[in-house]
Amino acid sequence: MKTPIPYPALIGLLALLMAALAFVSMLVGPAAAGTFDLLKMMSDGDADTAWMIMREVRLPRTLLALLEGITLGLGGAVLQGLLRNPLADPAVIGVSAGASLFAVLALYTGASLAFPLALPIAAIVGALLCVLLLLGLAGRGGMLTLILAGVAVSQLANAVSYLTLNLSPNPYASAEIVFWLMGSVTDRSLDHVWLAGPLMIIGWVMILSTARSLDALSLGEEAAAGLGVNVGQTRLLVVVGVAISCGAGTAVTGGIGFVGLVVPHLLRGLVGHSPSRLLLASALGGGCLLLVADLAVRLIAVNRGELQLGVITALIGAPFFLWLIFKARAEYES
Amino acid sequence: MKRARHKNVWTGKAGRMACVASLLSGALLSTPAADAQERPQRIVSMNLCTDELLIRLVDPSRIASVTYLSQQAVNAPLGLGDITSKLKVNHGLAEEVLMSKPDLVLAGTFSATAASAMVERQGVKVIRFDPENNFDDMRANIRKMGAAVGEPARAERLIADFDQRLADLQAQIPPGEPPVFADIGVNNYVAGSDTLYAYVVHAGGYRTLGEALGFSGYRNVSLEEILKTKPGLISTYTPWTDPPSVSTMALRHPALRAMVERTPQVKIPERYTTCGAPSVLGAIELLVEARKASQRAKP
Repeated sequence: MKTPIPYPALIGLLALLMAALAFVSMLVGPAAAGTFDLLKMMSDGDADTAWMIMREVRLPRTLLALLEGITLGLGGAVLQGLLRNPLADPAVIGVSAGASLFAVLALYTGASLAFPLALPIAAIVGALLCVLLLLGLAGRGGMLTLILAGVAVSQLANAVSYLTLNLSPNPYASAEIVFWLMGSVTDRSLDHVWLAGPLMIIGWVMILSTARSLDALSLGEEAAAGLGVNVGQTRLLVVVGVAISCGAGTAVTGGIGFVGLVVPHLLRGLVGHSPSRLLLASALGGGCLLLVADLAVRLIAVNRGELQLGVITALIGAPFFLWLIFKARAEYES
Repeated sequence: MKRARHKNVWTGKAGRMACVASLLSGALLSTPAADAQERPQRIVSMNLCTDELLIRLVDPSRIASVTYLSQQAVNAPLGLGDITSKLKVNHGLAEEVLMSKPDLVLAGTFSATAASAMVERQGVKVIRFDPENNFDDMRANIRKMGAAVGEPARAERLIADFDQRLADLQAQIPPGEPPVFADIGVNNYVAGSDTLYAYVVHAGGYRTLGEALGFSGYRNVSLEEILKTKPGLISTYTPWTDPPSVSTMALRHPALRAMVERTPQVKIPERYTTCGAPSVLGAIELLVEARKASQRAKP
């Protein structure tokens, strides 16, 4: 299929854009703290403090936005490819909610303090349970069942999360519903990056290894099997890869919606509707979108702390998504 | 020694005996029957801050209930733990307050408003107290409470004792520009100027982080803003770390920890700065001690 831009050029551009956004993200501070104050501090002689803030505050938030953006973009693209369903996305089908629920259970009971990786592992287990449940349901019912089941599982997981937070004797727990629902990378530390980053990368590798099988699967499962694709193994790699990367991400950033849903749709036309090519493009696109969203979070000053990331991704994502739907309908009808 | 004397004024046995003695002598002047008619005998307090003033002004036998908050260890008013733990409690619900058949209900202007309005509709006298934003508000509220419960003399003495102790503490503050006290609350919640908290901090010989950053009222500030300051005293203490929450765990950010480690620290129980009530002396005392310690540490 003809594409408006050669694939290597597209990937190069997206990578360049992501690097540029990451660089800007290191320079821009929260509006309340003075957006470009650090640069002034460096020239004014308090360079030690300025470097410390860059290293300890801005680097982790930039890295986490980037890693989580890649994870969500990749997760959305691979789920849409595997399930051949344009609505599949870690947030829509309940993976994020499942991960959040188990992270909430681990964190607010104190179980996460047992050993360093307890929190991300709990979230991964939650994500895995959700995906397996959905795959079981989807196997029988088809596309609509999958989405409906995803909505049900999401709501159930969210409800139990709220319940857990409301029952916590810690007075701050209830207010953190917003964090687990909308996500944030504000004031996270490098500890969080080390906790989730390596696991996310393991998930990415598993997902990317299925690229060629996904192309074959776009012809249908039987055709793919005929082409020598091990469908069961592909499915397993995707499910576990998505669970590990999204689970680990959700454990430290909370649940961030819309990125995994929107980004693949934005880029699908540009990669010629090839599921395998969409993976890398969508990963980089997700990284870009989340970096932009986190910059917006910093620049929009609100009185009580900062907005949550999910607010911005939905504000950017939803209108764009509507536009895509209407465009697609117009093309279909014409 | 100073601490012991302080306790005496507010809570020590001798202080309480003196209070009881003056109450008795006051009671002897009026006939017991008139007393029962004029002064409320079943007082309910529906607000944490009115709890403390009430306990300091009337005999426990006249208190029908105080809020359950006052019995929590983290909310114990300075030196009143013994008395508070023996009182009955309410949870700010109209039904339980009405069932205790109060003759006077004390409430905050902004707390449990629906419940206190309902109690009022049932014909019970309700007196509401504005939150105290400074020590003058506090003195006014103590006088108002003294008049409401029929203990104006005790109210005046409570104020005089407070002012005396405050003056004692102020006299101990070493000279010089007040350093910044960075009390970093959960979610980086920081007090600015014109707050009760700021007046408490001034009385202890410091200024607040929010004043150094240049705002009034309370705000959540970003970690970056905090890291740019160089406070003379710091606190990230919160009693709410077990069970954990994301908000309280944020106070363990490595950059913030490094800052805490190189700055003298203090732990001020939250309750000492929640209400404009004599408990603030507990906070002021800790701050003055910290200020004196930093003076001694100077070469």
